[in-house]
Amino acid sequence: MAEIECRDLVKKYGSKISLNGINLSLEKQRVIGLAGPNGSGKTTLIKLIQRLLTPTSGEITIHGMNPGKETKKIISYLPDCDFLPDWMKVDELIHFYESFFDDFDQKKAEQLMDQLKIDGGMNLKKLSKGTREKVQLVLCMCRKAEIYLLDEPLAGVDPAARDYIIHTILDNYNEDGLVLISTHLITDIEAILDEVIFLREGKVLFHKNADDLRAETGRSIDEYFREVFAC
Amino acid sequence: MLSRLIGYEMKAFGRILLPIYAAIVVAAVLLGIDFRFFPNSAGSAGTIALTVILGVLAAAVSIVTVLLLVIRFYNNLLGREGYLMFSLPTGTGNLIWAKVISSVIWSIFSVIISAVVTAPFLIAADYSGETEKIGVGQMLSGFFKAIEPYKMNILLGILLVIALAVFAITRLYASMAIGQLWTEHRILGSVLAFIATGILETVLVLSSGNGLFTVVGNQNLESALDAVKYEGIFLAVTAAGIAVYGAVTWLILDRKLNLE
Repeated sequence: MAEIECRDLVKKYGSKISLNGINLSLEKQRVIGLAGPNGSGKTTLIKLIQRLLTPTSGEITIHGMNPGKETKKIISYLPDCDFLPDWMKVDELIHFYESFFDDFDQKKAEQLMDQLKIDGGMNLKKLSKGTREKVQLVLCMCRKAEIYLLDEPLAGVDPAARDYIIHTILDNYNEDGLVLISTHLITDIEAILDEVIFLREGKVLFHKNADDLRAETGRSIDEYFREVFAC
Repeated sequence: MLSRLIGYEMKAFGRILLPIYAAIVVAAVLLGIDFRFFPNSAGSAGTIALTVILGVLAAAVSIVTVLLLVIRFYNNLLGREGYLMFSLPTGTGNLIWAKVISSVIWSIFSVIISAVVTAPFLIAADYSGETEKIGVGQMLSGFFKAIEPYKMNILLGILLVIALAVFAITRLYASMAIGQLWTEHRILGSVLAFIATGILETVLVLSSGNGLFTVVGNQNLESALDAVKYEGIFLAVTAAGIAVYGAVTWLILDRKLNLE
């Protein structure tokens, strides 16, 4: 049984088609890159898997279940925006995660916050944009989830922060799980990808093993991405 | 899960409302001391200032409570915090219930704390010496004795007031949920939805012809039993309204969520 299965998945916003007949089968123990230019449907697909959106037609199953309360127990989701509640302190947010997610490792979260030199008593409102992004990532990766949905974790951060993000993902994810990372910054994550999915205009252009793709094209995934999506 | 959600919601409200409540209590105590120990200071600048402060705080607590219940719902569920809240392993219904229950609890607290504002004036009446001196305790005991025959009416009346508060809250939530269906100008959409639901309610009431309001209006409500009966009917109608607005909110947030 595939960890995530999409069958003829369509999502329309009014007359605009965001996803058009997506068929995918994603297995666990894989780090999968979801690549495509802006507007190709990456975020929409991730939101559908997380059930922040409902499909217009077609079906998604996660671990054999339709997206909902039960699947949210096994998915750790990092959205592409700042979702931190400003009124909370860092410690309160860690406690919030601990009380709602059974697979959340509070000690690990506290350790990672210490490494980042973030004081638990600090108000989230007072953290810089970059630090807030790191806090979000730490909270997401401190869950021993079966699926990690990381939506553009590298967008808008400096190269040093990118390294931190990639290392945090690699050092903390559950190796028995599935990591789906959406990005258009392929270079930074190419080395860690087992598989890659290219999306264009709401359709799957291809879904291949990363090594196979490099062998077939004789190029890096990043180079191939630039060629395929050249303006 | 629901109790945990309510706990966090109570905390979010509390950090704003508790300091205002504390300020009201302090101002009321100071004014009470003033009336108690300086009964002839009624026109003094200090007494006037304290009375004005207490009045402003009493008004502020109502306004802030209403604003908070709107802002908390909008920011926490429809704004970016929604990405976190809708990723929790719980149903949409629980998220809405947590908001409704905590809003009602804080609204009740705000009403109770507003009553504290009257305490100094009771003390003033008690110690003015202008009228026959009766204790506050005696006054309250007389009050409870007088309302004894209307216990059922009062109980249903309290339930009706709470139900009307829930009705108003769910109408606000439904309006915001409708507003978030718009891709842009969501606040305008919410305001228009709120106005539209108000018009719809009025049309329903007016078009009911021999409906509930006409029936109640034509009845002789002198007997307490009649009043209980019609309070019950109003309660049922209000509950139906809550169910409709709650269902609209749930359906939109569960099936048509459109986070920023």
